[in-house]
Amino acid sequence: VLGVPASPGALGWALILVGLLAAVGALVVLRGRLRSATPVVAAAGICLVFTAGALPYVAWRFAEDLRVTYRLHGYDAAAAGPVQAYLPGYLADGARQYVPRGATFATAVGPHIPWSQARAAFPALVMQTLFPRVSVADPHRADYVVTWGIRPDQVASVSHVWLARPKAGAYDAVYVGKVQH
Amino acid sequence: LTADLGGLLLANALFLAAGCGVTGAAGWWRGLPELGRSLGLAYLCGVATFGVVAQLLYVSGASLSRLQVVLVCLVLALGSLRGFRGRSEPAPASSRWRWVAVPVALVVAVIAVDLWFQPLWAYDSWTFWTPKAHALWSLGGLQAPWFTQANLTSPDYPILLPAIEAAGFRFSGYETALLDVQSLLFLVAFLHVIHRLALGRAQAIVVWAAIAMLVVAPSVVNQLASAEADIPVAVLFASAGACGAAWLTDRGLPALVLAAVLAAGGAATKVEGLIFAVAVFAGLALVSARRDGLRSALPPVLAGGAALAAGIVPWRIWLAAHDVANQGSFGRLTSIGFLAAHAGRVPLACAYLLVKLLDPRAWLLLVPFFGFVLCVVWKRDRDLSLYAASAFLIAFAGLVLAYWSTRLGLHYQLSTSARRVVTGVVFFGAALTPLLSRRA
Repeated sequence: VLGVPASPGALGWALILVGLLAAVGALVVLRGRLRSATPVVAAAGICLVFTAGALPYVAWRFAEDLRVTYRLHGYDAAAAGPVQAYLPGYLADGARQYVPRGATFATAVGPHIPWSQARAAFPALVMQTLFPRVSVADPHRADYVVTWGIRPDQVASVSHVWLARPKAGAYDAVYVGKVQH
Repeated sequence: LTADLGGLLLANALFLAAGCGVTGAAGWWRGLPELGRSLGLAYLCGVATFGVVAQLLYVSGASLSRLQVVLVCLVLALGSLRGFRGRSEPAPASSRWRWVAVPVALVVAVIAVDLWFQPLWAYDSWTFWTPKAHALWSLGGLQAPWFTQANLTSPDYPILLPAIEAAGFRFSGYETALLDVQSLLFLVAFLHVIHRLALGRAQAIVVWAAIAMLVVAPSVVNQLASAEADIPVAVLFASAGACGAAWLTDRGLPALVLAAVLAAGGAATKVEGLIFAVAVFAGLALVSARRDGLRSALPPVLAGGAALAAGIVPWRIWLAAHDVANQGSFGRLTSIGFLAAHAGRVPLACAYLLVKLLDPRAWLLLVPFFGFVLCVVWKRDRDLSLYAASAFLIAFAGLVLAYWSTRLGLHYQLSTSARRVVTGVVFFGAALTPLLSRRA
């Protein structure tokens, strides 16, 4: 869930502990009834009690999540996927004007882009940005190349290069190159 | 978003109508009251049937416009005519444990609110599941150049879920924020299936314990919010497994037919769906053969074969025709050399998957509860417990085999997918636990 911290943290663990203690307390109170029940009914009762004990922690998770997602609007919501992969959702928007509809393209990521998730996700981001244009694996066989952190002429023989997005902060420039066939 | 939700609910009402037809034609219900008690199962059968038919139509070159979606669902809904001709069985008496439905409904409502604000963020959903649905909707069908392109991740994954989402887009417009709400509908229908199948058969407290744990389990919410295919495939597999159990106990053909329909849907959803379908029907065949001789294993074998043929074959033919490579390789699965060279993966994959299955922070006590009930009834209800155990183990072994034969790095695969792929096995256990408790 987007807004839930990866680790429960102090409050999360405290709620788990409180829930567990409450569940154990409830089981002590109910021990007479559980003893007289069949093993399966007793086990179901124990499961219900522990499920109830999990509710404070689960409620905290919902609250943490909603605290984040409630504020997401517009770009933040639309680009939440790429952002999770350390990619700005608009990174390849500038390429759209240079790659004609109906043309094919290939993508390439420079060796100095440090984030492995971003490197892996860049082709998917470009595919969606340039929809419905179709990508090919080999840059030499594409009509255009869209590159991030590397010049197009380093991945294919190109006749023209455009700067689709200049370098901004930690994010290298995005280029479009027209492949020479 | 509210107007889009109306469109999405309309599409799902059509799936429900289609499912009422499928379940009615199969002879699962007779009369309106019984249909009312079978709505969850009808909805899932509608989703499965529509998805399998849609996959076939897409492969055949159809575009599945809004009108075509309506027509497909209405044709399937005609099966209801058979159901309305009969009279319902009287409803089983309700139990004193039904008050648990109130907190369960409250938690479901909170989940719905949480999902309402959830954007599309999970990696698989934004990189390929939803783009595929968008392409089906926007390009008017299965356009081979787009669906076989280099940048599309997992082009070999079957397209039931994208087809369902694309059908939703026909009514709601392109609205990705609602896809997790779609997943929640699958889950709610599944809870209804557990309740319906256990009604009058199982101990009520066991039914409600399983349902309550499913709703509260943190991993369920995590996966609903991801809007990936793991909840749909798990729901379809577990429902198929529960219908299989109903066939074993009552010997009613409708249950076996619906198990096949749901398993076909699972197989058309994700590659694991194939493993799960094999697990269900191999388990049924094993128990039938043990109980009544080899010939009695024929119905489940035929049903399983039909499910796999409907769910997988059209898609595999399309993949072969367009030279799309399969990630799961039969060659690697059957290569003694490859498997021997990677034998070290087996204990690691087993241990990792077991840890994920038993993690109470993810699944509470669902799997230990299933195991406990299974042990208690092992001698009293050998057929059902043998089926539950064998299908559970075959599904688990299938997942281990998938990790054993992967061409990707094992640690990467396990860390990115194990917590999700065990969902089907957990849901199967949760669905079977109440049915097992009938002789406890």
